[in-house]
Amino acid sequence: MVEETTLLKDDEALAAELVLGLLDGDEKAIALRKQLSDPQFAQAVDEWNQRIDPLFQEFQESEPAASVWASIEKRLDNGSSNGVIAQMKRWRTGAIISGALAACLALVIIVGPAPIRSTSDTQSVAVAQLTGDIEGLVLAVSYNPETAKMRVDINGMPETDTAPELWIVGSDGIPRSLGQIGRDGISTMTVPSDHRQLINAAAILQLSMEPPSDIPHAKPTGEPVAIGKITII
Amino acid sequence: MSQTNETDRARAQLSALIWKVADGDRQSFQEMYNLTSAKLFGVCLRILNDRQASEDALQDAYVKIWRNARRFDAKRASPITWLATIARNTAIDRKRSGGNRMMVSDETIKEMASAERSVLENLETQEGAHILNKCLDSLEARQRNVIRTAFFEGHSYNELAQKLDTPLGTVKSWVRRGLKRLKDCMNDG
Repeated sequence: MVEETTLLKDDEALAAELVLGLLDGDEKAIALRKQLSDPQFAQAVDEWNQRIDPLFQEFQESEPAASVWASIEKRLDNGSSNGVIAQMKRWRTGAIISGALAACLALVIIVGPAPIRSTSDTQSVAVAQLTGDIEGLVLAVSYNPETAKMRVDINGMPETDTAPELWIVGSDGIPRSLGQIGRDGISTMTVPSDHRQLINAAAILQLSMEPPSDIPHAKPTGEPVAIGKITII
Repeated sequence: MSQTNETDRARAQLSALIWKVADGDRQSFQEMYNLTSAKLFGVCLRILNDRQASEDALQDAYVKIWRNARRFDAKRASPITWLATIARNTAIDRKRSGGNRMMVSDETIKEMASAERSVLENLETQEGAHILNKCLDSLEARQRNVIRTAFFEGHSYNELAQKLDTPLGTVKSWVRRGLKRLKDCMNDG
C-alpha cells in the first residue's frame, strides 16, 4: 500500500516530471501549457530545476568537430533569408525548449510588400523566430511600414485567464507594449507612432501573458513566453 | 573560499557574454561557444549516443541560444546550467522526433549509475551538489536509478518502462516516490 506521505501533490510531481523530461506527447503539452498559465506551477518548475541543477556537473565534456561552429555561423547568416522557412518547419515539428526556458513558439515578422510601393522599394521581409513553452504555438506578424499596420496571426495558444500582449524591445532593452492581441487567428493593429521607429533589425518582439486590458500595459508583469528578433530582409 | 570566488568569477564572465550575445554580438557568441561547446556537446552525446546526431543537436542548441539569449535570467539559473538545459532539451527533442536515431547501449541502469558516480566524485565542488547527492543516496536504489537515468539519458516514462521491461505504472510509482523523498530530504538540508 502507498502511504499518504510517499506521494507528491499532483502538480509537484508534474513539475518534476517536466523538468526531468519524463513527459511526452499530450502530457508534455499539458504541462508546458500549465507552466505558461499557472504561476504557482511555473514556480514549482523553477524549484525543481534548481534542485537538479548540480546534476549538470556530471556530464563529461567532449570536443565537437570543428565544422560545427562553421555550420552554426552559416545558419545565423542564413537566418535572415530563406533558411528561415526550413527552420520554421523544423521547429514546428520537433523542437521544444523546456525547463527554465521552455518551448517552441515561432514568431515570424514579415515586413510585407507595401500596397503602394515607391519605385525604389523592393519587397522586404523581416523574420524573427523564437522558442517558447508551447509546442505547436506559432505566431506570424507582418508589418507594413507605409500604413504602420501590424498583422498578427496566432495559432496554438492555450486557454488561459490571461491575454497575449505583444511588446517591442529596442536597443535600450525596455519593452513597449503594442497592445493585446487575439488568442487565435488574425489580429491587426496600428503601431503607435512613437514605437514605429523601433521596428528595425536591432529590435526584438516579445509576447507575454497579461491580465486582459483594453489599454496597453506600461510593462510586462511576467516572463516573456516568446521572443523573436526582427530581421529585415 | 578561493574556489568559490573562482566559480563566481567564471559565472559572471559567462553571464556577461550571454548578455552581449543578446545584443547580437557575434564575437562574444564565438567566445561563448569556445568556452562552453565541449560541455554542451557532452550533454548531447550523453542523451543521443551518436556523434552525428549530437553535432546536429549542438548546432540547433546554439542557434536557439543565439536567438533566445535575452531570456537568460541570472537570478533563475546559472549561465552554464541555462545553456546546458537548452542543449539537453534540444537533444531530447531530437531523440524523440521522427527519425529516431537513438542508439541506446544496453548497459544496465545499475552500471550507468555507478559510472556516473565516479565522475561525480571529482566534481562535488558545490554545496548544492553535495546535498543533492546525499539525498539521492538516501533513496532506494531503483528510485535513484530511474531518476538518474531519466535525467542523463533523456528517457520518457514510456521509454524507461520499455527499457526496464517494467509496467509503466510501476516505473511512475518509483519515480514519484523517489521525487517525494528527494524533495523532503533536500528541504531538510
